[in-house]
Amino acid sequence: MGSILIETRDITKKFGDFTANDKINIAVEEGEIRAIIGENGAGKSTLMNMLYGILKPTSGEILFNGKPVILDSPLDAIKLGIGMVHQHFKLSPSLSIYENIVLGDETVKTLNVFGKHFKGFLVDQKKEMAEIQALVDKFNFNLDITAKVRDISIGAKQRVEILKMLYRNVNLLILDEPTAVLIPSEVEDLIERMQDLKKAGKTIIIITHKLNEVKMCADNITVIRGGRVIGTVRNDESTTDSDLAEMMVGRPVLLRVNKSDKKPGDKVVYRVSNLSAKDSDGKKIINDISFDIHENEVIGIAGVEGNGQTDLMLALTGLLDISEGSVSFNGEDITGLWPDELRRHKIGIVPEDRYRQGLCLGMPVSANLIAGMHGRWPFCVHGIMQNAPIKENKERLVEAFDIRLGSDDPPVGSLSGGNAQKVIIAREFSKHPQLLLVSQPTRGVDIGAIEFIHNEILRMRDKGAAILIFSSELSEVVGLSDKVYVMYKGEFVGIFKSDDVSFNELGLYMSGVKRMSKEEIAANG
Amino acid sequence: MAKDKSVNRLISIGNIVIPLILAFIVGSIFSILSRCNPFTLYGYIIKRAFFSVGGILNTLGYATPIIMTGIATAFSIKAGIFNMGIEGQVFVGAFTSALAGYMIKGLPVFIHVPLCLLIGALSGALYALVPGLLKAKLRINEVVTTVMMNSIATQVTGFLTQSYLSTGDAYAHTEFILESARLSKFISKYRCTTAIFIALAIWLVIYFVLKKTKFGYEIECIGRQWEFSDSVGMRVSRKVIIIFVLGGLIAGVAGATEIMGVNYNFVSTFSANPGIGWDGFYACILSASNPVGILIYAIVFGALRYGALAAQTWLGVPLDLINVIKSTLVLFGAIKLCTVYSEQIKGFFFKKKAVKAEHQAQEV
Repeated sequence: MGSILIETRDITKKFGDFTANDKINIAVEEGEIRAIIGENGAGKSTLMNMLYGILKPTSGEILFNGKPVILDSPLDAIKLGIGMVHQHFKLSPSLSIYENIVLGDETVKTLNVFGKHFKGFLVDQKKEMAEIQALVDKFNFNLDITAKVRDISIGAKQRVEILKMLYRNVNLLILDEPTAVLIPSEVEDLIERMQDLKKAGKTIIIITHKLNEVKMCADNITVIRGGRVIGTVRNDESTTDSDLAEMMVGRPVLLRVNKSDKKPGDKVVYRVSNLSAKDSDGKKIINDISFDIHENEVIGIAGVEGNGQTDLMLALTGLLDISEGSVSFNGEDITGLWPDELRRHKIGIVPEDRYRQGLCLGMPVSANLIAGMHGRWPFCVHGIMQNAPIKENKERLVEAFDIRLGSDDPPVGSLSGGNAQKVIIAREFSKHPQLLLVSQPTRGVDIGAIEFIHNEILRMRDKGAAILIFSSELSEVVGLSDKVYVMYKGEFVGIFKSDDVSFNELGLYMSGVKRMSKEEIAANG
Repeated sequence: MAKDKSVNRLISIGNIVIPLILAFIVGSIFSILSRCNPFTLYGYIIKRAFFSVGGILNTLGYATPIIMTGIATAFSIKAGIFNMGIEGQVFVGAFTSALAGYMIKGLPVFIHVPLCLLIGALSGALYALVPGLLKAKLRINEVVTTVMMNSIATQVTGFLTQSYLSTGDAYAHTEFILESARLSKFISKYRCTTAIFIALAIWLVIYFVLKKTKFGYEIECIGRQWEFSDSVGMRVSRKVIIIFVLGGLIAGVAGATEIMGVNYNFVSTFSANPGIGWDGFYACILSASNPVGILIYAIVFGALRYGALAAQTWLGVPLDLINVIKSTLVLFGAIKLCTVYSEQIKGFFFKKKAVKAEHQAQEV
């Protein structure tokens, strides 16, 4: 441990009257791994964006190596030695790894004209490759630097992003939610790489809301809530997950979901048989998917994002044409029905993209709470909308689902992620569905609301509903489900009982390393 | 919150008033260039358009089709569809009703008039069905198809009038429609006909549909976010076709009433330049598809059309000057200065409100 590398003094950021960061003081020592945790909207990203020069502080100052600095842009930050890896990668898929790394900072051959050196315009690829290969070896990054970025895994892409920063000689590396897109084995690998970097004297700030990962890698943990620093603790045995969660939320929270002992019933509510679908080029994006959901049963679908889960959800909800196979609900064939017909069958749908498919942002909460049922009694009589029942419905659901509104009936777009999701949950769960198709129920939702939504899902299960859950959050899929299917490249490659499966095992299936045969899956399904 | 609302109202009023002022300033420059005191000009237009029974009837007469085309445009714009084809649908409706007006003979008034209106409406609707189907089924951009179909409608009807349907006169027109197909006027020398009742009835129905019905709710959802509307089961592609067809239906009626009430025969210049479809479009853009605003702008445009004619005759101010004023009005109206500077305006009235949305955008 050495001197303090970066420090903020009373740094404040206001957006209009809203204070996103309120007099934040943090000091990170050289060579330390510091985790900054907090709920969505706590102000973590705002703080990091100020350290990286994307945002300018309203007041307060940033000290780097003990000297006050003014960062006007990320370029200034990189010059000082501050690098950041964003949650969403900024890579060019058609270029190779090393080309992505040097992009914007290429090594150029010098021209020798009569003994004078001029900067030329030809890129010295050999020298670049040698430099980057050296970096890869030094930090054990395990990359083939000539591979095209579009062909490599997400974990590898993230390593490329980190290398991009190391190539620019940064000393402080900020990682914004680095594990959100990774499978468990990749997370472990990332943590090992972080330890290597630390050994090489780099300082790392990692932003996250996943407590178990913080516990694995950080030296110190700073908790932010409501734009203020709640406290900084050393990461040792005396600091527990539930302590940290309580600091984040401001009240004790249940971290594990408590599933009831109720066993799934015998009655098959939902049966999907040999379902396939094609994209516009005629390529199969969903391939021969079959599963049953019984009464009182939650089926989870795990997988790295982009392996067909989105398409499967669209196909099941009537938004993507099914090319082969059938779907039945309580024995009735519902293959290829329109979404409104599905809804008439007491099927609740929580779509993946909350803000594009789930909610109409410009319309008030009351109008969003009747969407899909807007043509039915009591909201609509002979084609004419009835204001009183619509208002009454809003008041009842806002109360029952604890949706926090700023005013009487604001547009949904003004609500926080958690409250916006609760609007969808309230709408879909309140019509007593027998089947729920739920995708990414808690993405971008704060811990308090996650707890609430999980409990609601399990309550629906205990009331007899059949539920299908897609989630990229492994702990969520496994925690809520009775059985978990793993999806890889549009197919089911494994099935597990959720009470006896390890995350690592699931990770091997998710990454396509292991797979079960069709017969094995059918036998266990 | 209440204060917030009143400032928002102020902003929307500013969005209407400021373009008016700017447009009249620009108009004044051209007015001075054509050697006419702008205040005399504006005063004259207002006096002629509003301060006599004849003036009011003429203004309303010019406003009648614009009310219909304006509300027809609003109907699709609310649903996020830029149906620019109203002008073409007006032409088709006018043309077919003109033919029905003289080709079908021997019917009593109370059958012939509704029949001609119906034929005009249906042919407008049929003409709008084409871009509707292209948009809904093949996702073809409606702006391109509708604008092109406008040209087709105006050119083909013009060609037919000149060739097969020509009466042999020096200027191209179809035969005059029969007495039994004509709409009656309040006072014979002024433009306003009973079509004003048809226009107001259509306006009322659409107003009610947009504000109160399930269909209105769906139109609003589709206009704001079609992906959401599709996924909650509104069958957007089907609704798109219906919206196009209804717009074409109203446009067809607007064209038919112009022939049956004012022109009595089809001439390719009946819609004048810019056409009544376009005036409706402007009224809709200026009022942000608000039905009440459309009604007001339709009357303003009616007054300008009539006042401009009068000013040309009596003051010698060219007709085009009024079109310049109208176009600048639309241009400044589209800029919506008060919305662009809404934060500053709000900041002026009370110290800046929380801008949480911006913060949330940063967090995502």
